[in-house]
Amino acid sequence: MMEELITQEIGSFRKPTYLSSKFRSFKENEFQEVAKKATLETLDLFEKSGLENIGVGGEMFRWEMYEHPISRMDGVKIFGPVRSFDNRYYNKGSVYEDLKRKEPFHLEEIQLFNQLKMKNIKLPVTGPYTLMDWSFNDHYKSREELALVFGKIMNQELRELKSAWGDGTLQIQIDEPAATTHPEEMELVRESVNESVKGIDGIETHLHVCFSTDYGLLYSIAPSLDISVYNLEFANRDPISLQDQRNGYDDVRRFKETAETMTKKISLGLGVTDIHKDFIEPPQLIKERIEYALKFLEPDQLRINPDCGLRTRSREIGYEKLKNMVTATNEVVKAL
Amino acid sequence: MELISLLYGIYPRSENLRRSYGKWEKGQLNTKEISDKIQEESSIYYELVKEAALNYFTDPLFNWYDLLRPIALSVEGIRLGSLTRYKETNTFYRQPEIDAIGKLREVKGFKELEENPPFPMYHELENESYLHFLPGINSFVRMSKVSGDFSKVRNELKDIYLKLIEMLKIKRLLIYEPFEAEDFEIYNELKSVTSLFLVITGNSGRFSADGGKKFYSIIGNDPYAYSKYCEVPGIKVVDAQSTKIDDGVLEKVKALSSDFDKLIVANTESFDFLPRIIADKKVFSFKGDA
Repeated sequence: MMEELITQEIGSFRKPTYLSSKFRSFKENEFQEVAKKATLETLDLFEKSGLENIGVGGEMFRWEMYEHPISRMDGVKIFGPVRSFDNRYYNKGSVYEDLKRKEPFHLEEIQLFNQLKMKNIKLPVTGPYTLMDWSFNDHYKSREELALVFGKIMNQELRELKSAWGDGTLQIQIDEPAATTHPEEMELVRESVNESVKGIDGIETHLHVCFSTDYGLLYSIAPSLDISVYNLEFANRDPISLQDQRNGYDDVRRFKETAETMTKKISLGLGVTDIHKDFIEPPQLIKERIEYALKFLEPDQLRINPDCGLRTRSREIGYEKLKNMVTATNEVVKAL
Repeated sequence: MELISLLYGIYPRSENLRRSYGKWEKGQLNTKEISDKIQEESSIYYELVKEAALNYFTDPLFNWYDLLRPIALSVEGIRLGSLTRYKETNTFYRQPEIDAIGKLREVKGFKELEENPPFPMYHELENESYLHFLPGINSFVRMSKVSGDFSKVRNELKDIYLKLIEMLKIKRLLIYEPFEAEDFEIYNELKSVTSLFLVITGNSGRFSADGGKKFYSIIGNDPYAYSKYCEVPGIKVVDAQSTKIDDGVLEKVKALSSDFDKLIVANTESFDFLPRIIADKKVFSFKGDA
């Protein structure tokens, strides 16, 4: 039954306190054990929720999506945090000489899932354009040059991950929250993302973009982007009342129009729960959102997910949101 | 040519202050304790800018959660909306939603509000180099969600600014327009009651500000375009988007040396976009002597 509408998570999930409170102070061996324990506990929650694709168990091995890969490269230095909003900060790197990957970013996660013999995973990685946009460029001549260097580094990382994964398709999700922030640079988004996946066989490529003011920019490059699934945020912009029209989901129609112009099949990962609110969307609301999207897309073009990573919510609320998402999806599938 | 240094905008919080705010948000520090901490950190900043011999500097604005927040929370009729990206950066602000501009609230004391703490707006310093800071009226409206007449809202905001000037007895005020704007006559009344420094963005070739007293300074990318409207023109050269310490200030202003007796050199953006450790070094680079 669930083969008709796959449920998936997007990436991060709130870490248990025993991991987050000492994340930077564990010794390496100890860290591996604790991160593994937290991953297994999170996988339990995912299993209970009925989630089909389990991502990498909530990204327990990573502190944050930018710092994790950046701190594993030479040529970039983190001088300290800069503000994201309010009193929230992130460590922004300064590129000061030629960049090189000094160690794998996510190998431990692939090895863990191989060990667990779990194949229903989707591995999120930070995209080259976002890495460029979120860094100080004190070395390369242009933003273009830096983005393409990050693209090459990601290509090296993805090749190794695929090789460690072995046979069978590996789902890779390229996270590009910055993708549409500079409309005039969409061509650079296309080039750098394509560079990341160039020549790698046996992967299904996803792109995750959230909180964009114009997904049309993304659709404009979709025909020449080497991406099969677009996991996008919608719930954040949709009212929570029940209604026939789902205003937050207008872009689904535009996605369909884009897909129709292409020979390659593309699918949409539909964000149905808001990750910025504790409000737990009831199954009926999520069901309406999915049914609305199904007016435009066939079930095999649709996957169901939260808007973005659920690390912004408590583990309890994150679990409830996922559970209702699966319940709603099952109800929709039954009626198909 | 005499170079006059000016640092404006939100200065980055130290790790100590960030942690203190984190504790305050979790209820582990009380209002008096966080207020004292901000005062202490402001004093450290004032010592730093004194050591760097900056000619002018704005308040560090440590208590500003974003460029618009204190104004948005101190005026009746403005609500805080959703997190919105600031220009093309990875920094977000709460978008003000304006139905109608009402009264100005008390802005001096540190108060606990439902939202983040905006007050006091400033930690003032009795010093000729100290400047109060306000976001540009044009940019404030552009960055907000406004129901109704934009021009009316702009005028009402101008009246709020006049009240603030009066309430705080502001002698020198820096106004920062982070977006390209065209209506600079909106500042005519403000110019008549305080010494006004205006930082502009974008195409200054179209700059026009006839009427009323001159600005004390207009700071942008092209001093030739606006020098006739101010006492001392200025240029934005110290790069707030690069962690390189030496911005080659002298090289950048050399070509202007024969045309201006005095020139203000300022930063390109708030130093809040830099890690604190870099900002603390860059304050020494305004006259090219980093």
